[in-house]
Amino acid sequence: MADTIPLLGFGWNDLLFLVFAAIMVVTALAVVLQRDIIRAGGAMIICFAALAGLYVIAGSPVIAAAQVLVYIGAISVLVLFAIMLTQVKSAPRALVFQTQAVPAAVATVVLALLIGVTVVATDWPKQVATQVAAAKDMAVTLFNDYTLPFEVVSVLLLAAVVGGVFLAKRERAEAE
Amino acid sequence: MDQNVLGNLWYVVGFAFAGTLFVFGTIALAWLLSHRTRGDEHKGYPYESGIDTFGDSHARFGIPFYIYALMFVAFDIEVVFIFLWALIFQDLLLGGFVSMLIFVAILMLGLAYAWRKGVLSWR
Amino acid sequence: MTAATRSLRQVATVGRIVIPLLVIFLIVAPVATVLVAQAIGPWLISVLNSNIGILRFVVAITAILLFSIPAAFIIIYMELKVIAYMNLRVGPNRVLPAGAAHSVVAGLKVLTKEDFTPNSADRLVFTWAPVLVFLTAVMTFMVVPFGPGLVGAPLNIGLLYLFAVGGMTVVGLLLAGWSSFNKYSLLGGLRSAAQVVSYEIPLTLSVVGLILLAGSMSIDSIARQQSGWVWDWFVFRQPLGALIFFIAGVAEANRTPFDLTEADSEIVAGFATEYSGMRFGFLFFAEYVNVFIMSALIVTLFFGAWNAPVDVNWLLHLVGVGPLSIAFDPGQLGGNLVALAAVVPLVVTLVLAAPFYLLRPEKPVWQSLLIGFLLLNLLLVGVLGLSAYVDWDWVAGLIWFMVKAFAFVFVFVWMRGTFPRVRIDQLMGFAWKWLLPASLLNLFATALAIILLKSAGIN
Repeated sequence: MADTIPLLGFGWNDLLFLVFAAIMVVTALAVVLQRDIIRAGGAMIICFAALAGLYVIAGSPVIAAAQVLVYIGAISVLVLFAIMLTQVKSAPRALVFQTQAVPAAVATVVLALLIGVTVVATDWPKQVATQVAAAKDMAVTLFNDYTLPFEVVSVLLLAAVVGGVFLAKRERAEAE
Repeated sequence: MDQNVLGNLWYVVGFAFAGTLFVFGTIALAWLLSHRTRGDEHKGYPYESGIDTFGDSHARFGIPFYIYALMFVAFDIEVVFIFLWALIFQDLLLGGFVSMLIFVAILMLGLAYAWRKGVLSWR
Repeated sequence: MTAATRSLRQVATVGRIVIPLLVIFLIVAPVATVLVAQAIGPWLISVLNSNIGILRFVVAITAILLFSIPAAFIIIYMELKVIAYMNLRVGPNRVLPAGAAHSVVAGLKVLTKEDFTPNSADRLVFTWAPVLVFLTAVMTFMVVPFGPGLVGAPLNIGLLYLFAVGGMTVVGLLLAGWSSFNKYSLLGGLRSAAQVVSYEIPLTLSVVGLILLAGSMSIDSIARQQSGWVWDWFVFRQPLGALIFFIAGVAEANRTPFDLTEADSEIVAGFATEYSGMRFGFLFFAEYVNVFIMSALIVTLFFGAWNAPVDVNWLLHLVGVGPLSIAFDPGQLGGNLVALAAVVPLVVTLVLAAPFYLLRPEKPVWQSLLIGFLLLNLLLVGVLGLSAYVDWDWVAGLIWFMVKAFAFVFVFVWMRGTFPRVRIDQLMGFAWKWLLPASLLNLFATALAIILLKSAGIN
């Protein structure tokens, strides 16, 4: 098979990147603009899947698998549960911007500045990733050099679980 | 870039694409083969033991479902770390054992809290 | 005119048209095939050779999709027939002997049923939910090794991929339940999501013992490490892990005794209540494919994958024979091959037919000849099968894998015929209070055993 696609002049793997990137942009816009909240959730899941594809292209299949496992398998389910709990089927035409327009604008500008500074400051490689981050290398780095951050993650997860349980218990107590 | 990894990515994408194509092809075939009747207005109602629907069909459900999903997120992240840890455990041995024991023990506190508060028991 | 003569006349009309066509086809088809092969054969081969990667992918996906259909039919038939015998019933007995094609006909029936969308359902999500459910099954198949080398893509992170993709089923079930706009569907979808999510953790943690032992997340390498005798299978080194994987796997596949999602006495058909026609068909197709996948995974991870339970080469070595292989190339015979192909079937048929003719001279000759021909075919299948089994390890692997996998499918069906359904509080409590601690215990016990063995200098 030819290395480059006829007429377009770039490789098949670049095509894959373009497809994933396009899917990400379209679905991310759909998440924000879609008024039917469950469809926004579905678009979010597709967005996560495309992001996993981008991770593989960037040379880290382990991160991609973790992305699918955690984000699509777990966090999407959590979000879908939350959507189903809210009982609001479609968002109002005028969103919360009416009351929080100023803080939202400030946050947007700050975020844009942050991203812009990061983009400018980063020394971008001239070509795509040359080697794959093997699962073993990642594990060695994680458990030898970053043991303390690894332990701290469990504290974070503990906080999430305890907080969730606490809120749920309070809700139940109020219902009774 | 390892061509093998990208090749496997093509496999995943291809399987997803071909599987979707297969499903929609079969549904289209069924659409051509099957009969269709208009029926009366009752045909399109949500099924409720033969009577007409009452109330909102997206009824409110219990919070326990949400708690299980939340705990699942925490333990799912734990699983990713444990998988990576298990992969190189033969080199880590005792040090790795202790660090993972601490990690899991802290997370188990969350499970113990939930257990103690009774959210693990279905009501 | 009676009905019988009318149908005869119809047969005659059909025969007058069909038989000449058939004759023409039988003569034309081989000639045309040879001519076309002569014309484009070399070109085709060169194209396929330069695109061998694509060819492999097409073969893999086609094989998996085509395999999943009969697999589901066989499992549905097994379920009908086995449970019927367990209940002292006859079960399906109309289509073919013993109702063998019953499930196929049932599948065709689903194909011709009306595919209806309820008025208030979310049409887009309603259509995509069964697609998602089936898609996860197909994508899980990609990493299941059916034999040595017989795997869609042998990923290095196979186990992680497996659980990542397998976990996507939840989303499909949840969306199916929600988009139906039905109380039963919503409750069924939520229940199955909560159940699958709860049992996913013990399921994934129970295989960590394997990663510890194998030092690899590749399913292929885990399969290869179990070659040899029965006691090399991982089930004997990870009995608790295997048990947890089996229980959690049954719950993941939504099977009895954990089939709360389709508890028909409580919530009709769960998330599938509002589905009809082929979209319903795919929800159930996926369920039965998932049963096969779960059996295949139990076999692959714990019961020796495609390895035979006895070490054949060791046995042969004991007797003094090297690794067995039939070194025979039919091409060596040259022109004699044609003569052999013409003569051997004839001679063997006559030889096999002779005893029957001699024993029963009163029967017509053609009956003995027919028996001889059938025996010849059996013999050929046996000989070719044996040589394939010995010569190609993937044939042997495939046979062992299928035997073991369908043995576990039988266990699934058996459980459905035997166990009552659990209550939902028992279901959730069991996952979080028993299976999760047990799987963690198994994990740390395995790790401790590895440390002790290493320090003792073994391995």
